[in-house]
Amino acid sequence: VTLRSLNEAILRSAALIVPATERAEWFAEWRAELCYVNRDATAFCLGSFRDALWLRSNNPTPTNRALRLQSPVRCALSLAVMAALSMLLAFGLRPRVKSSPMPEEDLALAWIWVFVLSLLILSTVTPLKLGEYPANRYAPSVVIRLRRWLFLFLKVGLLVSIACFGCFALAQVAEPLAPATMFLGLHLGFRWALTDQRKRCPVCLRLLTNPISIGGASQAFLGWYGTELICTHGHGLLYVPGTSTSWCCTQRWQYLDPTWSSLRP
Amino acid sequence: VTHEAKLSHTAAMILHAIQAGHVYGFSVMETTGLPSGTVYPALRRLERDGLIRSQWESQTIADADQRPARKYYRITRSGKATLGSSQKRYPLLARLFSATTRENA
Repeated sequence: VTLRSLNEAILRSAALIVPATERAEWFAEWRAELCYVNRDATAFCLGSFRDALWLRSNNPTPTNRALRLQSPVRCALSLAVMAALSMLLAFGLRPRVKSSPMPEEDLALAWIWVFVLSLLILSTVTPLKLGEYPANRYAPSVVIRLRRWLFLFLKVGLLVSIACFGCFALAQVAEPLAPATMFLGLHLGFRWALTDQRKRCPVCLRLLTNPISIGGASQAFLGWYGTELICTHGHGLLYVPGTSTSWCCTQRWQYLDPTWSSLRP
Repeated sequence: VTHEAKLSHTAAMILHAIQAGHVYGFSVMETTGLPSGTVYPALRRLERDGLIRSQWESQTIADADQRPARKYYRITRSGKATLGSSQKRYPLLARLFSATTRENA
């Protein structure tokens, strides 16, 4: 009975990875098949994770998460909700346990040190450049360009809050893990903020869509190759090089002139 | 999917097994000796490419046998054509499965 429960638990855990629309049918198939397995049933059930991952990665419908984050307002709201939840968790856990043996000033200094360290390491392991945005006559106004930077700083601020409050909550239950988790959280958060910013239209700040591969690595000597993305509101195209070269070392944005305005919804 | 679509060795083996009458995921596993983590994702991929199609067996039959209903797989016309064209690439597989089918008969 215990082994059966374990196998059932493995299948249920794997089912969580499967997209919700296919989950019930997927689970029914695996459970029915399990009835016929008379040896190595656990190994059979562990294989369900690969199947579940395949279904998740080949899901034709876009994930809700991608839809939520496409608009800049939704992205900022999602991060704000996460920051609020981590803050509630941090303050909710606080009175139940003993206070930290470290003085609060030292704790704050340690956290600032982790913050600075994660920024320093970030600058060495990943390029900080957001790409090339030509300043031609089609470029947006200063206000719109400023809005783009404000959005980046807002994301970074919210991510720092999530990491800090999350680690504060973690420190209440497992203090030795908190500094390393905070460092990891900040580092991944900064990387995500930069990656997300690079994938957004500099005018409307929506995520760019319809990635198309152009050219091939074998033809890189005579031609450009990489990925082209488009803003669905017709503001421009983004060219992301497949390999960094002397003439194209970073992603390049191209503003579309008014003749493309028919594309705009 | 064109008939010239290239099949991997594993996919060809699974298609052969289904054509030979092993229509359930677990029976494909037993016939081919492949693990569940390989067989089931391959079945999904073959179904997505239109080479096989799945169907649930009747609940009445399953209830009569006091077991849960199983999902079975059938090879499509496109799957048969792809398998036929892959025989040049994997001649031993075709011979192996035809020999197994003869033995079972």
